[in-house]
Formats: sequence, structure tokens, C-alpha cells
Amino acid sequence: MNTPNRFARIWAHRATLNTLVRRDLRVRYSRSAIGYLWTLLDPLAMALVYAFVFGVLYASPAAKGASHHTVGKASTDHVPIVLFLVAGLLAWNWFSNVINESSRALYTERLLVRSTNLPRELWVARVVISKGIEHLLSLPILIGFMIFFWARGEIQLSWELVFWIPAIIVQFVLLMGMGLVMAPVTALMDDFARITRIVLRVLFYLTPIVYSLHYLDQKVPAEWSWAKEFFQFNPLTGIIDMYRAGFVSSHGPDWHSWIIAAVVALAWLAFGSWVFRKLEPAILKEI
Amino acid sequence: MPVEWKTPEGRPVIEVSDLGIEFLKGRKRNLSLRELVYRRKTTYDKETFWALRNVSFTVGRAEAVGLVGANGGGKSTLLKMIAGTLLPDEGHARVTEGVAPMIELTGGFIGELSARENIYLMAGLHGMRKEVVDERFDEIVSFAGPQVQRGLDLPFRHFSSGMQVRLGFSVITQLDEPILLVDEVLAVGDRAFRGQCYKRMEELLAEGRTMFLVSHSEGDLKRFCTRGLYLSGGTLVDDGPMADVLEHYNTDLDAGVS
Repeated sequence: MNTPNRFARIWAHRATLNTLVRRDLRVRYSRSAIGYLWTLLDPLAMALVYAFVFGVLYASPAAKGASHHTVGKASTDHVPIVLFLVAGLLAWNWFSNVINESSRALYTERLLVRSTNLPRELWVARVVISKGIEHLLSLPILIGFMIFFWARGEIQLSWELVFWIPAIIVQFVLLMGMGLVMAPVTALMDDFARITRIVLRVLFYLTPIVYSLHYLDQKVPAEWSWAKEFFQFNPLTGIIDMYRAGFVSSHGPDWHSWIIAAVVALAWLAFGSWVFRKLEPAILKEI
Repeated sequence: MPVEWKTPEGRPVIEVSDLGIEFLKGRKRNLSLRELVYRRKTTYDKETFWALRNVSFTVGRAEAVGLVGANGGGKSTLLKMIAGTLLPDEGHARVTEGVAPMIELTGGFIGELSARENIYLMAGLHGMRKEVVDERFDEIVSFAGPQVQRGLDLPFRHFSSGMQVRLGFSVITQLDEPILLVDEVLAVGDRAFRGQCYKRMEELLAEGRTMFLVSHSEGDLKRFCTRGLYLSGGTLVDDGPMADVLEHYNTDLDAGVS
């Protein structure tokens, strides 16, 4: 079956997708009384820990002496570190949740996969969407911090906040593509999940989450000037920059990495669809 | 309710040609990275077998087909390929109508959710719209029996396996799909429920559905099926009237061929 046909089939089953996503959210939020709070607490706790480590313990000496009220640090694009971190962490969480969950997407639902003739891509889409809704539900943290620091006059908000929309779309496309690779490959190969965990941990620090790309560019030695270009090939760089564009005023949008993010995301989607189609018969036999 | 067909009259609804599927020998589910790398270097002997090969036939509207053959003959595999839950390595199985698969009936149920939620979920996964489920909800529940009815809002994992199968059967038989695939589900359930199942299947057949039945019960096969397919060692050895095919199969059994 060719690609347009496959998309048409997935679209035809959108009601089923809706059912699956609702089921996920019901299971997620009905088990515990403070279900929704967990969505907020987890990234909040992580943001505070990173803020303590990188904002207090490893604070760059340049910022010392400067009033913390007026200017933040260059390492966080002159934005309060908590806000800077939360913007990156929320997007990262969606990313890493999908990578981890989609690697199990087919195997944990093998009974359903074996007994229903649904487009198998649905099992991946379902993970991306339900984690995406959790991501949207966690955005109030970011909004809360933005309003807080804006009210204290530490940041300025701009119309560029609308770039959250392309950020979410590009990230969705990227995650669909990567999920379509993760799900079949992990179902066929156990070791892959372990490799992924290591890669994710490394990638976290290779992504401008706890630091800014501009700061990295200033800090690295001259002969490493390719580092910035290298980082821009990480699609998350562009995506996170879109999330931050509305409150970072020390530099304009990093168009270069935005375009790369969009192109890389589409490339992943094409690659993922191809891998998934190739491995589908083998998976159905194995699970 | 009569069945709505999308396929023009006289055209086959199931067209299987040169169908083949190859499995790895042994129950090795996962490949480790080392094996993947290792395999490239050596002349790795891929030990495989063909669960089905060179199988061709067509089935038209309102045919009731019984699949016979010894265990391992490929009956369930063929059913899954028609249902689309296995994909062929050779040839194709073209199915032009919707399929209601009674395969792994309880597979779709979630232990954490209530029976009520599971009915909606399961019916939804098989393509039934919510309004239709609303409409047929009572029928589904009453078919599954009073025990299920009483436990509608209990978590599904408290249900006995018999009750789970009953509920699965009653959801799937409410689907409007023109093709019904039945894989030995009639063997489970108590006698009263079996009687109910027979009645329901006869109704479905009377509405003009196409049915595939896998069974080891000669009685069931003769009761429902007019045409028989005999699979042995992954190939189709006979295709004809049910009674003749059964006779062929029995002769082979007596002679120790199959």
C-alpha cells in the first residue's frame, strides 16, 4: 500500500484513534485523585532541581554582582533560569515520553494489534497524541512562570508567543516519524530500548535545554565554531527556540534552526513511514 | 437486517492468490543486536518454514466455508491473513468487504476498565460508531448473560474467562460487517451459551453473510458450512462441498497421511 493510501486509512480511523487517546487519558487521570497535579509536579520538580544546579551551584561568575532583578545570565539568554528551563523541559518531556512509550507501543498492545485490523500506525499516533495532550496540559506551568516574571518586570512578552503553534506542529511531525521507527525496531530487537535510553540521556545535554545555543557559541573555542551549526541539526534546537521566542528578547528568532527543524521533522516522518512499512509483516508474525 | 455489500454481485469478496507466509522456526521473538551484526558476517542459516504456500481460492457473497485440517495445517494463519492481522510474504489476500473477526476474542479487553467501557472500546475498535453501540448496548449485554449484566460497572478483570468470551462474542456478532471469521470460539462456553451462539450464527448466515469457520467439530462444520477447504502442511489439498471435503480429510486421517 502506498503512502497516500495509508494516510487515508489512518484518517478514516480517526474515531478509533480518538477512543484510544481518551482511554489513555482516562487511565492516566482516573487512577489517582490528584492525577492532573502529577502532570504539573513532575516537570516543576525537574525544573527546580536544574535551576538549583545550574543557576546557583554552577552560576557563571559574569553574572555575579549584577542584580538578579534586571538581567538574567547570558547562559539563559538573559531570562530567569526557571522560566528558561521550563520552556525547554516541557518540550523535552513530550519528546522523551514519546520515544520511551512508542518503543513499547506495539508490544504492550499486542493482543489488540493481533485481533483488530486497524492501520498499525494508529498505535504510534495514539502515543504521540496522548503524550501531546499531556504536554498541552503541562503548559500552564510555563504560562504561570511567564506571567510571574513578566509581572515582576524581568521579561518582556511579545507576539512571538504565537510560535508555540508551529513548535507543536513541527514537534508532532518529528515525534510521529521517530515513533514509527521506534515501535517496530524495538519490537524486533530488545537491545534497542537500552541503546535508546543512553542516547536520550546524552541527547538531553546536547540539546539547548539547560543552556542557550548563543551562549554555547560564545563559550566554545574558535576552532569549534562548527558546534553551533552542528547543534542546529538537532531538530529539538529549533523547536525549543520557538517555544522561547515569545519571552527571549536578547536575540531574534533563530530562523536557521527553525527551518532545519521543520525539514528534519519531515524527513523523519518519511523515513519512519518507510521503516514501519518494511517491518510491519515481520512484527505481526513476532508479537 | 440484510447485509449491505460494496462488492458488485457475482464478484468474489475474498480473493486469495498464491498466498504464502514464512515463519522463523523456534519461538525466538527477539533478535539481539549481536545476532543482527553476527548474521551479516556468517552464512547464517535462516531456519524458516512456510506456514502457508501457493494457496489460491475465491469466495463469493453468502458462502459459508469450513476450514479443516490437522493442527499446524495453517487454518488459523489463513484466517488471520484474511482478517488482515498477518501480512503475506507471497501473493495476496484481497478482501473487499468489512470483516468481523472472532479471533482472540478477549484480546481487546482492558482489565482496569469496567465492562461497560470495554464494550464501547471494543466495538469502537472494530469500527462501530458510538450511536450504534448506544442503540445495541442492551442487546449486547443481554446476549452475554445475566452475570455480565450484573457486573457491568465492575472492573473487567473480575470477570471469569467464560464471561469474557461471552461478552467478546456478543460484541463481535453485533458488527454489521458482511464477512464473519470464526476461529474455534464455539468450543468454549457452557452448553447453554453454545446453543445461543449457534442461534446467533444461524441468524447471521440467514442475513446473507459470508462466513469462515475453523473447527474440529464435524457437527459444527456440517451444520453451518456448505463448502469446505482442506489445508494440510500449509497447502490447499481440497476445495469442494463440505461433506466431500470432510470425507477426504477423514480418509487421510485413517490412512495416517495428514
